[in-house]
Amino acid sequence: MTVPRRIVTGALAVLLPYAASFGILWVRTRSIAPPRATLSTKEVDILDWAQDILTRNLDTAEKEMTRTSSAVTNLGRDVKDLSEPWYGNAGDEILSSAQLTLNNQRRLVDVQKMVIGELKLCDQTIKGLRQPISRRILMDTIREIDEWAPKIQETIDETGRGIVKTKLGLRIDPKTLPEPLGYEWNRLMLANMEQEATLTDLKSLHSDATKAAEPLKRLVERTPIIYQTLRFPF
Amino acid sequence: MNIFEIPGAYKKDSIQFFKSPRLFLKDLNFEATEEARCSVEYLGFAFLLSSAFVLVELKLIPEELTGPAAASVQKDELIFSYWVSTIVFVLLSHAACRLLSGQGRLRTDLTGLCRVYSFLIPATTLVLIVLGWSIGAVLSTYLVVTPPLGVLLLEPFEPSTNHLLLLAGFLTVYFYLALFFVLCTVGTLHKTHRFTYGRTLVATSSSVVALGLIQPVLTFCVRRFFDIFEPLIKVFL
Repeated sequence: MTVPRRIVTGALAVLLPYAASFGILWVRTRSIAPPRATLSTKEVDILDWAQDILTRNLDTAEKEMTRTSSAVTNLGRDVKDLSEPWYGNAGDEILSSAQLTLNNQRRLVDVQKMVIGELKLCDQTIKGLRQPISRRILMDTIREIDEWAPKIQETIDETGRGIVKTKLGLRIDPKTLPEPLGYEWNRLMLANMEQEATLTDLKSLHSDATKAAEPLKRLVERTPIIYQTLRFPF
Repeated sequence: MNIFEIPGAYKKDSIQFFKSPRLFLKDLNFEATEEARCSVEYLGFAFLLSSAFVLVELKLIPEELTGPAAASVQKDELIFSYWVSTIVFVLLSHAACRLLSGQGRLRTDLTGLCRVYSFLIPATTLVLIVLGWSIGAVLSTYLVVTPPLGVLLLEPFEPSTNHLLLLAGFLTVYFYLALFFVLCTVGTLHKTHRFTYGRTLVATSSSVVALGLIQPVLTFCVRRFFDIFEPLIKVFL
C-alpha cells in the first residue's frame, strides 16, 4: 500500500468511528435530563410557603440595603465635618461616636449582603427542587447555606454589640453640648436607633431563612441521585 | 511457578503478547497442562491487579456518588461480578463454537481465553481509567470504569458540542479497545476450534449477545450470592 493510501486508510479508520460516536452521543444526550424529585402535596406546600417568605423578605432586604448604603455616605460626611478643628475637645467625643456609628453602619451593610445572599441560596434551592437540576448542585447549595448560617449569626451578634457600645458612648447630656454638636448628637442618636431597628429586622430575616432551610434540606436529601447518564456497552 | 515468580513472568508474557498477539497465540500450546496452570495463575494475578485499579478509582470518586445511597454501584460486587461474567462468557463461547462444529475442548478454551483475558482486562481497565479521569476532569463529571469494558458516567454533563467531541474521542479509543478484545477472542477460538474466522466471529458475536441477554440474571444471582457470602468474600477482596 502506498503512503498516501495508508494515510487515507488510517484517517478513515479514526474518523469513521469518531463520527459515528459523535452521532450516537448527540442523539443520546438530547434525551437526558436529571430526574425530578417526586414531591407530595405537603412538600409542594412547604416549597410554596418557603418561596412566599423568601420572595417577600428578599424584596424588603434589598430595598433596606439601598437605604442603609446611602446612610453610610451621609454618616461619612458627618464624620468628615466633625473632624474639623473648630469643634474643639467636645467635638472629639462626638467624633469618636460618629466613627463608631459609621463602622456599625458599614457592618450592617455587610450583614444585609450576607442575609440577602442566604435568602438567594434558599431561593435557588427551591427553584432547583421544582425543576430538574443536578443533585450535586443542590447539595452544594445546602452545604453553603449551612456554612453561612453560623457566620451570619456571629456577624449579627458582633454588630449588635457594636451598636450597644456606641449607644453607651452617646450617653452625654445633649444640653451640655454647644451647637451644632447638639444637633450632631441628635442625628447620631437617631442613626443608632435606626441601626438597632435594622439589625432586629435582619435577625428576623435570618431566622426566617434558617427556618425555611430546614425542610429544604430534608427535601434535597430525598432527591434521586443521578446514578448514570450514559453507560456502555451494556 | 511459585507465587513470587508470577509477577515477573506475567510482565514478560504480557509485553510479548501486546507486541504481537498473533505470534504469541501461535506459539502457545493450549493442550499442555503447564499452560493451563499458568493461565489460572495469570488470571488470579490479573484479578488482583484490576481489582486494585478499580478500588483506587472508586476511592477517588466522592462518597455521595458511590456511597451507601448509590445502591447500584456496590464496590465489592463490582469487583466480583465482572470476573463471573468473564468465566460465563468463556463458557458461552465454547458452547457456541461447539454448536458450530468446533473441535476444541473446554479445557483448551479456558486455557487460551483466560490467558488472553488475564493480559487484556487489566490493560484495558487501566487505559480506560486514565482516559476516563482526564475526560471527567474536563466535563466535570465522573466516569466509573467497570472491567473489562464497562463505562458509567455518574453525573450529567453539559452536552455542548465541544464536550461531545471530546467524549467521541474517548468512545473511539473505547471502540478500538473493544475491537482488539474481540479480535483476540476470535484469534484464540480460531486456534482452539480450528475452523474459519467467519464461524469464529459468528460464535463470538452470539456469545456477546447471549451474555448481554443474561447479564441482568447474572447480576441478580451474583448479588444474592454476594449477600450470603459477603463476610468471607470481603476477606479476599
